[in-house]
Amino acid sequence: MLQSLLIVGCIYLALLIGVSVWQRRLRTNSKDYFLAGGSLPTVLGLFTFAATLFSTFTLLGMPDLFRVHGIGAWHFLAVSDMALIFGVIWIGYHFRKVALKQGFWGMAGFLNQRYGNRLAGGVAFFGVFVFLIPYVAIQIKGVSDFVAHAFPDLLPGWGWSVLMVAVMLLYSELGGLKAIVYNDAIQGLVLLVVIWIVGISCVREVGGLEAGYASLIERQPALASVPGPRGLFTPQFLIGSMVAILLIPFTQPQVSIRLAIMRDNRSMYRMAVGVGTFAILVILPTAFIGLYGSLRYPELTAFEFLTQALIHDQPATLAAFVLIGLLAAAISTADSQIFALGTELRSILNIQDDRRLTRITKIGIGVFALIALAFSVVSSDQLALLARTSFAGTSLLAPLIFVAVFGRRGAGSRLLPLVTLAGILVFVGSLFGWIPEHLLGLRLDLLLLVLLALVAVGIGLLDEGEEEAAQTN
Amino acid sequence: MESQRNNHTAWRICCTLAVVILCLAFSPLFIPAGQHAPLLLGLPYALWTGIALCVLMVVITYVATLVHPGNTSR
Repeated sequence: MLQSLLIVGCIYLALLIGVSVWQRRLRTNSKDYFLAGGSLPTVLGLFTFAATLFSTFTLLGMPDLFRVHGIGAWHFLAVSDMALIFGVIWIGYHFRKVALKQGFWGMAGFLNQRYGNRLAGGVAFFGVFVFLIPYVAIQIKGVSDFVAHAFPDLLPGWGWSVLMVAVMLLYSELGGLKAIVYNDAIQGLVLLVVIWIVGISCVREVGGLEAGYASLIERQPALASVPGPRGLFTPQFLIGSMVAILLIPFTQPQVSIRLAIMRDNRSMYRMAVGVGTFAILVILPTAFIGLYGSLRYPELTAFEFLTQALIHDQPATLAAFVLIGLLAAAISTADSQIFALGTELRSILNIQDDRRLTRITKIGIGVFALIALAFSVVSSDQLALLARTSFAGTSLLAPLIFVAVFGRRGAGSRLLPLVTLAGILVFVGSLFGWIPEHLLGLRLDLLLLVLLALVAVGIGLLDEGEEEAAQTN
Repeated sequence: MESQRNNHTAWRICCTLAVVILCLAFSPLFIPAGQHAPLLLGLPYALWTGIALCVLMVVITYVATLVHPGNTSR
């Protein structure tokens, strides 16, 4: 097993570094480095978008969600992803129209330009920093702990974390976003192939789908319906998750930058349809692995179940591919997020010298990676639920972003950024237990989003009224 | 001009369909509490309808990309 892992791992590492060095040679300016040249074709866009979106929590979190909370996990992620792809073609068109006209270097910088003040970009950067760093950290931690659990004698959990961050930094610093995009394509394919092989083997082990679900209904019928045995998948939880996931392409910078750098609108539309298909293909086998876990390992902890199902119950070579697939999934999302944080920082810095700006951004990327690494040591292992918290947190930026996309330049002024900042702080307060998670019978994240949306609509209407009055005068 | 108007109508129909389907997806029609029947190929109701709904959404999105008002703009 160890031998297989070393061989597959070395091939994978050589591919990553090779692609980065190749892209480094082709690079001519900072637009190539930070925006991958700004002209992604459909297929490359599809894989980088998918690899960034489907991270460790798809491969580790989703099978466990299916195992513990039942089939409602499908609606939690797959149905929500369908809302996301439609949102990409519906809102993405307007976003690109406005953003590309003024030269897009990052969402925070875009907001600064549209709002006409630096507060808007500052709030956006604060929001993504606060909610992305923990998300990066839980992915690093999730995979590191898993690999350490599978190979207790090889390296401790933190050792795998350091190794992952080092690889991530090495190839992203070498090749920039283009290298990340090409590596995402490799990682997305590895993830898809590996998860299907494991999924099919799990279905075989339970005697086929019909027999498997018949046993499940007989033993634990609550897992075969919604809201699941622990009542997690309530309509409110699912709708809240759907809204948060639907907004990801605009509120999480590692995804929004991929919309901005597509070659043209048509490439973006095709990419969205491809991502929808990819979502169904990548989530379906996690349901099969979850079914296998519900029947075979209902009593185990998440890590024990995953180690059994993904490693010990698989042939050695496949298990090695699973581990590499897991590392790939974590790295492909984490590197995009860290790199996007760097790009966001670059977009709000007021420095004219491009070389100096690039140097500071690269240092920023390194610092963000170290912060995420430190945070990974102390974060919890509830992968899927912490990922949802990150989505819900960044979704609070949506009204701020949508006013910038759909409103007039300068609409929203300083009021909306300030209200958004207050909303983010209240949500963070609820995560620390200082504020209740439910108010007026609603989940706080949903309530805050509704309130911020109302403020944004109010500002939009007032602005329209002022514009009409100015035209009349 | 005529085809542009037809595209615009088709785009609006796609948007309406997508919104209606997504609203229904989280209603008791697709996720009835505590109910796993009727099964399809052994799959519980909420799962097979959820999969069918996702396939339908991909198809609607594909059609929407063909008739999108900004389909040709660069």
